[in-house]
Amino acid sequence: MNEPTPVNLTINDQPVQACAGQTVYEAAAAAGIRIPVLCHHPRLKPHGACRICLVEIEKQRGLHPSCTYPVTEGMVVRTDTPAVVASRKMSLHLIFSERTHYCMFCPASGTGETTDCELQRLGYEHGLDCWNYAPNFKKRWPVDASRAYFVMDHGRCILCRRCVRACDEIAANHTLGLTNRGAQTMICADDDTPFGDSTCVSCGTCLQVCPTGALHDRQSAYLGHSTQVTRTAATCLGCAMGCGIQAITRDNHLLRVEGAWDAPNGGLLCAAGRFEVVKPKPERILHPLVKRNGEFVATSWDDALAHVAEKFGDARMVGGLVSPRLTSESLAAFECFFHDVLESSEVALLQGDVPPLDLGTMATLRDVADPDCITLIGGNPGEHQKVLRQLIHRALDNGARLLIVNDESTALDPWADLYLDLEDISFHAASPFEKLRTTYHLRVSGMQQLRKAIAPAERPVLLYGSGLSSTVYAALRSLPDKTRYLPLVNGANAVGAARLGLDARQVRGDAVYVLLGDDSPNGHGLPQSEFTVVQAACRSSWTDAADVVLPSPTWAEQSGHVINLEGRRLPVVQLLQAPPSVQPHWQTLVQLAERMGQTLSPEALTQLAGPE
Amino acid sequence: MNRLQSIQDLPPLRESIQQALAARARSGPVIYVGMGTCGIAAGARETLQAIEREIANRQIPAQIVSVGCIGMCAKEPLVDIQLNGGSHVLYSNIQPEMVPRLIEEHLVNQQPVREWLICRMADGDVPDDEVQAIQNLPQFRDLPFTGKQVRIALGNCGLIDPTRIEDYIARDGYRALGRVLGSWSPEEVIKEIKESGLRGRGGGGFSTGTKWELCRKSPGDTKYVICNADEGDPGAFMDRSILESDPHAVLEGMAIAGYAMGAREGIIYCREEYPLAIDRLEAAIEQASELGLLGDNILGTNFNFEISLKGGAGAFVCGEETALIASIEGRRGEPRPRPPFPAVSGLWGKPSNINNVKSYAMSPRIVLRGAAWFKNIGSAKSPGTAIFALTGKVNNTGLIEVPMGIPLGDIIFDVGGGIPEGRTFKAVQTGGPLGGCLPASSLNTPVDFDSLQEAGAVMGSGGMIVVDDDTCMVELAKYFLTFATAESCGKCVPCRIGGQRLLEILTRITEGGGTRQDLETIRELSAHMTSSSLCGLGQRTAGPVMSVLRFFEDEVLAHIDDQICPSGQCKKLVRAKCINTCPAGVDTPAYLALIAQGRYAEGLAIHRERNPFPIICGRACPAFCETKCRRAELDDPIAIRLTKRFMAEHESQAPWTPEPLGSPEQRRIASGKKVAVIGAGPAGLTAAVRLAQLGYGVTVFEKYPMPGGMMSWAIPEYRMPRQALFLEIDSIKRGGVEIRCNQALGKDFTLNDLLDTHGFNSVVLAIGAHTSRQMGIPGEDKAGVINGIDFLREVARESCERAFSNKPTADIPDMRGKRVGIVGGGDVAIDAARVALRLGAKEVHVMYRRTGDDMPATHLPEEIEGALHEGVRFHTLVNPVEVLGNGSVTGVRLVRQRLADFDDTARRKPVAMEAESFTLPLDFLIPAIGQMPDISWMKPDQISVTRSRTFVVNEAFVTSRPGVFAAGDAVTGPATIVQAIAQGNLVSVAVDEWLRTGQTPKPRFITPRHDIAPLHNLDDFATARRPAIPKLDLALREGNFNEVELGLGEAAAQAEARRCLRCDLEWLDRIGMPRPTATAEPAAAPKETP
Repeated sequence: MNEPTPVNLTINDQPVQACAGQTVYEAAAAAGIRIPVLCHHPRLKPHGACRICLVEIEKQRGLHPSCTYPVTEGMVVRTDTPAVVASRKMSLHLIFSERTHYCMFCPASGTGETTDCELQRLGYEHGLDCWNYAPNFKKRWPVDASRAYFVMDHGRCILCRRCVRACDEIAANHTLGLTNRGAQTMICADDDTPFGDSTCVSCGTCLQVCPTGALHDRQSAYLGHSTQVTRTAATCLGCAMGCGIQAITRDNHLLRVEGAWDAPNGGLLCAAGRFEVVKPKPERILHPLVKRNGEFVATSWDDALAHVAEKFGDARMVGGLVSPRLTSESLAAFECFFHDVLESSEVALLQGDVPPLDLGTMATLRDVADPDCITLIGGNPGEHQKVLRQLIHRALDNGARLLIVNDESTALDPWADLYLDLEDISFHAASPFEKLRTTYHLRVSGMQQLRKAIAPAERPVLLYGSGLSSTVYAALRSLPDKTRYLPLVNGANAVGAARLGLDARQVRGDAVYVLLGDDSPNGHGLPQSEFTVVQAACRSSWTDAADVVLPSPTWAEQSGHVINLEGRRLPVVQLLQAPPSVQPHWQTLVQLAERMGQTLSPEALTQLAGPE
Repeated sequence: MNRLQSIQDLPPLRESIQQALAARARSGPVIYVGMGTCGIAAGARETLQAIEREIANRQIPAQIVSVGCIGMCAKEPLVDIQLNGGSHVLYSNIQPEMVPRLIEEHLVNQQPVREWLICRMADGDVPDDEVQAIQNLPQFRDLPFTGKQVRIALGNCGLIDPTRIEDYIARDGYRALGRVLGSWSPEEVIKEIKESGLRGRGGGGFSTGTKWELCRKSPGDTKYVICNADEGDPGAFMDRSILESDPHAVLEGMAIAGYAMGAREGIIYCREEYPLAIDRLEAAIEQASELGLLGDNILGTNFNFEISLKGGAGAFVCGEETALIASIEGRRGEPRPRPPFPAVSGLWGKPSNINNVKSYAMSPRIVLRGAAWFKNIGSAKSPGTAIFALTGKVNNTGLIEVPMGIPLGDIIFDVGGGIPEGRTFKAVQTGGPLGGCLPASSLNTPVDFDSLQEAGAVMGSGGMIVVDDDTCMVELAKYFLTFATAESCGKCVPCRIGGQRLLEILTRITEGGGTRQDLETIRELSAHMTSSSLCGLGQRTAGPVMSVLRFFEDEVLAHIDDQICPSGQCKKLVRAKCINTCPAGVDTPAYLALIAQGRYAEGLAIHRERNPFPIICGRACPAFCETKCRRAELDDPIAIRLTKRFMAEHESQAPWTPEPLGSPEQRRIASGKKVAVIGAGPAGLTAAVRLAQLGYGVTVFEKYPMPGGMMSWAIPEYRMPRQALFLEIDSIKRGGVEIRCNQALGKDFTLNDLLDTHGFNSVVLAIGAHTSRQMGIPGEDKAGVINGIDFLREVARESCERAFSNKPTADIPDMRGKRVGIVGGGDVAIDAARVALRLGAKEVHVMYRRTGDDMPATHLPEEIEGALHEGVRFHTLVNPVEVLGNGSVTGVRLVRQRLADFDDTARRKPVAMEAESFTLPLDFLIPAIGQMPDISWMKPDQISVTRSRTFVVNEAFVTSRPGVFAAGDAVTGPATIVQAIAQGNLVSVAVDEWLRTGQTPKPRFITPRHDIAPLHNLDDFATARRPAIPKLDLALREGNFNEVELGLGEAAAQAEARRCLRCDLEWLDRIGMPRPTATAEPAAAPKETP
């Protein structure tokens, strides 16, 4: 990359230095001069449609959008002349006149600097205190509520197309578009189908960029404006991606989740990470429960733990299962409890797969944002790492090639430039017949094809799944050094668990201790045993089948760390206060150890989780 | 044909083709049929088939050639026949059924059908027999339509077969490409184009050479040459015609541009709505590629250039270059902000050059004939020619190419042949739907990029739409705005929303819901859209609206203030065009319906609500109502005036006493107040009777011995018998109006007397315009020179006095056996001419400085007809410069006039041709060149007057002196009776308002609406025709003042009234009101007379 050429210009009589290629808006923003915008969004390509950011540029006739106008040497810009302000006010008046902007009924409404609605904020700033043009209250604008998680209210849409552009440029899903033209223009999905029937994957990026209340989610709407909420940077524990999030909370409730713009996920989230987490949970377990005569009886921690300690003490072997979505701290404490207190090695993950992590130089998620060749070996990023799938689509939009080696079909298949079966590459090296085959042209080696396809790439990234044959992994190790490897890990902290030596397998024991956290054990069977303890946040079939149920904090009520698929240690931030009778996992384990006549020190547990 | 291997191969090919074409022409008749889209739409395909059938049946060895469009759209289908290599002659409007005779006479008998011919297209190589038959046939280039044209880009259109590359090569096609490839560097090509001054013909007007240069200098190996053929203006078809008629010119121009810029690829973006253009382009590309004129190693050089076609879906905005690029790339056709400009980052991010079809088509000609040649055509800053699709209300609609700088009026009136059907020019829209409407006062504007912009319009791509006085400018602006907003892409806020708001406001105005505040809003919105929209579409969407506000604000205000659409087009405002057109707003359909049912008294009552002089207007009204009658679209307008005259005369035995108006409370306030009206003409008397009806004490002061004003003192008795006149004036008196004659302002009383001494609360000045304008030439004071109005007054005085006392007393000049000359073309001139004849003049000459069509008296065509009929001689385009004679007139020296540039009424100004003067011997000279109010009674500046000495009044008729109102001719200048009546109505409302409230709002004269149910079935009168106007036999008119026009009988009047189409009932449907039912009570009960 060449050093950007510095450009000197003047904005509102203030000398400003910018770089060639920057826009006037960017130069002004960097110099602390605020130019209001509506259609512009820093994460989206400049568009120049709303005309709010128009400025005067000396020697140029008319007004020009600062968000698209490139800076040039010696340019003189004014952002606050009467003509500029008048034009801006007029555009605002027009926008307010176009559809049904009943601000008082809009979830994005607020006051002053902190309103959720950028349009409303600009309206206040520019003193729009009356209707200059008869607003179109006569026309009914449709509301599309066909999607499960969020609603499109066309009446509040200002056609800035941030959503369309976000769908194209960030989510790379290309669902949103426009139909009709002129004043009849409408945002639409696909070929003007209801949003719910469209190719929309409900990533919600459109929602996050909408400057008004046109797109709002069903769950959090009307629960609080920006003035009333707390925003906390945190990590999503939905999968091993470990996406950065902004959690929006109020009164100890999680209202909404947004993707963190500066994290590798770049604002993207999946439907689960953005919407599922705020859905109402099944019945919360608030007190320890002990089953007596087939009926659960709520009891105190003392009573419940005493009961468990007694039973564990009696058991020959205690098996342990733990969710991979717990923090490394919780996992370490659990593992330590089994190892030190119960002296049992029958402890494993409930689920979660981690492929070998030593194939070569590991990729970071930022590598996936800008590769020129993506190779997918035996995995399906659409299944567990949905955000990764969008990142792949984005890379493909930017011209990257896609190579797939897989036995199962995935939604990415149509974009593949090369498609091979796993068998095609599993003969390589490991097969004694390899030489023979190539010599006699019986079969062109898949590996040769793959290597040839990767060869021209400068920044190849290889994504690989778990559970493949060792010959496949061996083959992958032989790829060029420039290849960066990204494992498709299943389980938010499965990598962290792997580092603690935990993996998913069957466990044995006449007593079982399941640390479920807020997981729902959908599909899995509870191991059969004589005495079962389930520690969970919510009621499920497993808690119903247990002998003792212990309360657990949810993901949002705990703090600690997880390690994502790229091996990055990510902080888990406590967002909500747990109910009074719910205590951290380590505390339960320390207390239980105590009752069993052992001592576990919290400090030691923390250290086990890994270096800070 | 074989691929051309080198540049040297081109000339021999050209010569061989030319020889082959000449041989073809000699070998037998060649028939050329215009097969552009316009021709095909007019039926050229059927004509072509008929010709083919006919020559096959007769086994004539004629060849048929399909050519493109020559531009004469109004005359399609066009057929050009050349016999044996002789002259080409052009036939117009050849329908299939005319073909047998055409072939029989022209091809078999070798005798061209003279009456169908319009011109000779080209002289033949060989003298032949037919020349005799077409001897005086004008040349194509001498036709009015083509006389002022210079055909460069259209040079081949209509002359060659666009489907054959040979025809193009024969006319120097691809010679320019050969020249640049052979001996010019790309820089030299750019230099030549720059020097020629060619400006982008798409409408932008940016220097084409500079544009090419920018693209050439832009770094990059891949560049694109794009041709913008996305012509989307309503009514524009310049590009289509060129593509259809001469596609190779565009290809050659693009190849030259490609060479100049270093591009290897050209793309023509052509809308799919032009299937014929696309077909012909595809064929042309194929032929050119086969010949090695496109593709790799063109003409054996190392220049490679390919052209492909991209179909556009017809979005107007895709004519904007960045939107066009988006569309080619397969994205939604929306513009993006510039910079970067396409020359830097265009199609697929590569440097691209976009020019219009016409710009490319002109380039080869510039290369061939040189920049200097091109620069010499047109104006200094806009060299070359402009191509227009001339459409709308103009006789010669079609495609024209004129030198830049030609006056707008020349295009419309010379090339276009003027406005059809006797209508008058109102405005011309240039620059397509985003341009502007220019009024008559702009007709002298030179047509070029800068002048048009200065005048308030734009050059645009070349649409030119002419509209006549039947067009509502608000409606027109709304039409263009509807187009522009529908074509807005919807991306930027000012265009998407601003356009919509503008359209809503305009719609509201056309429906009568507008307010004055709306005008401010329109201006504000327009300014915003212009300054802040993203692309040219949004920036110019408000153009037509702004130009209408600038040039036709009065018409917009009429919609807003009075809920009137002056041109009668706004459907919700116009109950019926006759009512709308009548200055007094008389409810014509209502009284016609009542006449049809024999309910004359009721009809008359309705008439008098708005016009108290039905008998007079039944005779002397210009009947504006009839000029707009919708029945005329079917056959002839209803004879409204004669029907009304019958109604009024039928009831003349029952004298009318004007009934009281207003509420008892209003009348109580009015009863204590007195109003003086000065002048007993139609305006004064109408104002007087209305004020009297409202309860005021009204006194009319009249200078002359008899009331009536111009009705009595100007209209000759043969048009208006005096008995009828006084019958109606008596009705006014019965309304309580006191009329004092022989009371001259300034002499017998003053304004101060009235207001201060005599206790009048208000004065209405309705003094008319009784002073003749002077000619200002030597000898004007000679005996025998009589001012027209004075002459008529003397004659009228005699008839008035005879009507009262049966004894002729007046001092009428003896004209028996004399030669009388009249100067002027207005009503007074025509009346004076016919009066002079009746006084026994031997010869009567009317001298008018313009043409007969421009005479102001044309609004009374019967009068001019009558004068001609009776033997008056008209001399037009002459102007007197000296009255000859010693002491008394012996003649007048006249100078012939020629017509120069246009005045504000869309008429050409006469200019004297001093060299051409002649003498007309005369005994009397009657100048009748206009009248002005007589203000000799007034101290200077007592009341403000204009340069024409009319009173300056505000919209409430208030003069500069409070309490003094003015109306009628004294305000408007000489006008018609009905216009004066309308003024009288309004001034009475204004005076009443002022006397009661002290306010002076713009007055509105409101009367009830009458919905009369028809009792007859209109279908029974579908074929009924307007009766001929019965007239006094010519022999019986001589030497007397007997009324010329005779009235209708009862049966004829009723039958005529039943022809009325009842537009007023359709209007009820339009605004959602129920129609009256036949059983309903009569809307207007007969008035009792006490």
